[in-house]
Amino acid sequence: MLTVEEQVRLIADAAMVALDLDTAAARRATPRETVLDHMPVADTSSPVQFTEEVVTMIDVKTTDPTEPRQKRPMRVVVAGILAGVVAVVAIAFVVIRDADDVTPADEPSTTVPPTTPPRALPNTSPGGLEPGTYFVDEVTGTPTARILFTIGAGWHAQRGPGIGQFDIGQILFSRPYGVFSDACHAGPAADPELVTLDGLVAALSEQRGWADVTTPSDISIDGYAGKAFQRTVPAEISDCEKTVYGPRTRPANWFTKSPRFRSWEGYEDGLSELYEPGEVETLWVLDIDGTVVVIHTRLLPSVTTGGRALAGPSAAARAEFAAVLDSIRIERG
Amino acid sequence: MLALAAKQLSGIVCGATLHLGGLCWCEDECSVVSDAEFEVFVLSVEPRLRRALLGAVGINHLDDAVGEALAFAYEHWDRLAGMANPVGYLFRVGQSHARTHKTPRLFRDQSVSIPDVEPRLVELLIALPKTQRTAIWLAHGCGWGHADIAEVMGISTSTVSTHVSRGLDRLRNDLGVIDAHR
Repeated sequence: MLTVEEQVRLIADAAMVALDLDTAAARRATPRETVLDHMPVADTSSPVQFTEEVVTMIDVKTTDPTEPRQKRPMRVVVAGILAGVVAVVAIAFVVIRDADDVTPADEPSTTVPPTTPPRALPNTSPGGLEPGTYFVDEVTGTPTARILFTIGAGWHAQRGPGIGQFDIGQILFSRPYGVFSDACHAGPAADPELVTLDGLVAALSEQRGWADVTTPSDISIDGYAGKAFQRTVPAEISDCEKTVYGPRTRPANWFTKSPRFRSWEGYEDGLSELYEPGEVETLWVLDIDGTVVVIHTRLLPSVTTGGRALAGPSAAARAEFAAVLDSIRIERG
Repeated sequence: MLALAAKQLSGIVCGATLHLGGLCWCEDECSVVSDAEFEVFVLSVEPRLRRALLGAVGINHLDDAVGEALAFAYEHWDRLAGMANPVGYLFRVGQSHARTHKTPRLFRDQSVSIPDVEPRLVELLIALPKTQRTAIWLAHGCGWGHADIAEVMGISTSTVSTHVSRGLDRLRNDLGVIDAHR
């Protein structure tokens, strides 16, 4: 039998191996960061019910391509800021598609009716997800009622859990642990944990630093009540606290500090959301049998950075994101 | 992979200002390290730094801590360049940037099973008082000498020995085991 000292050594070895594998997998699957610029359009036939105000709010918006953007959008999986410095840079280099490759489809890919039973959304999908219906029944370690959604082609899974499209955006299922009082100057996260719908909505909607926050409106998905609202990041965040960003979004000067704007601290997965100037985030905060889950959608804006012009999501891409959100169902246990 | 990394790092832009011949001139903080030199430095210290910080801050804050530490190293290269133990110094930098009220976690998967390791040991290790956990992690998880640990923890080597000894005793007691090699 090994001594405790020897076992501690094995624990450290195993933790480092797990960390390396985890980081590499996340890097392969995570799109370049995302921004949220739209909200889904509710279908009257959908079980997702909105108040009239919310329906208005979720109209698909068009990003002004001339709007100045300072940084590429970035969502730092904290496990990514400099994770495995060299390895991550290399992986990110592969993941980031060249702008020339960014050719949003003229038409949204057709949402494919499920021909197979709903599948569990994997943590990662280096090769992309097959079209069909997927489900999430655990959000950052906490079981929830099964949340189903249907996607077409071109999506991949990413930690969060969530799904995304490279250079377009992502839809994430999150459970904030602590919300910062000021997104521009985060400081320590709120403590204790925010475990109620109203508490979390208040913390997120009253958080300082945002240029605009819409009034939270009631929504209901398959009988699960919640709130929906949008938040807009100021166009200028250079005075915000600074830190290093992930190499995936700033490959040339990854260790130079830049301003960061972040809303909450991830639960147990280490995720932390970083936002881009001018970004609009759409949130659905739902109470699912006592577990408060945030479904938030972020779309990449058009941006020119490092000599590369990224088009941002086309109207078709926005519509596709809206369709996926519209497809969300929650099964009652 | 390394070649790609080198390619990425070769385009360093320093802060908001100038980049000439591998040197950076910054408005407020300056670093006089060349791209290649800093890359070599990162390659040599980052794995040890990451491992050490993992036990101290956990996976939740690990990348923030490592990132802050390396950014600090870049910005204060003149201070780091002559140090005998830059990893130790950067450990303190990273740790100071990752103070958290939460208990750190070593694994994302809560039900991790490691061959030849008592199933409860990870949990018990994390539950130790921070000083004991850090000392044990650095000593036995990272193979650091007590003098180096004393330096980064700001305590004497004898105190390090005490923390390590008491922490290990507590782990053995909680596990209900007697080490045959003691």
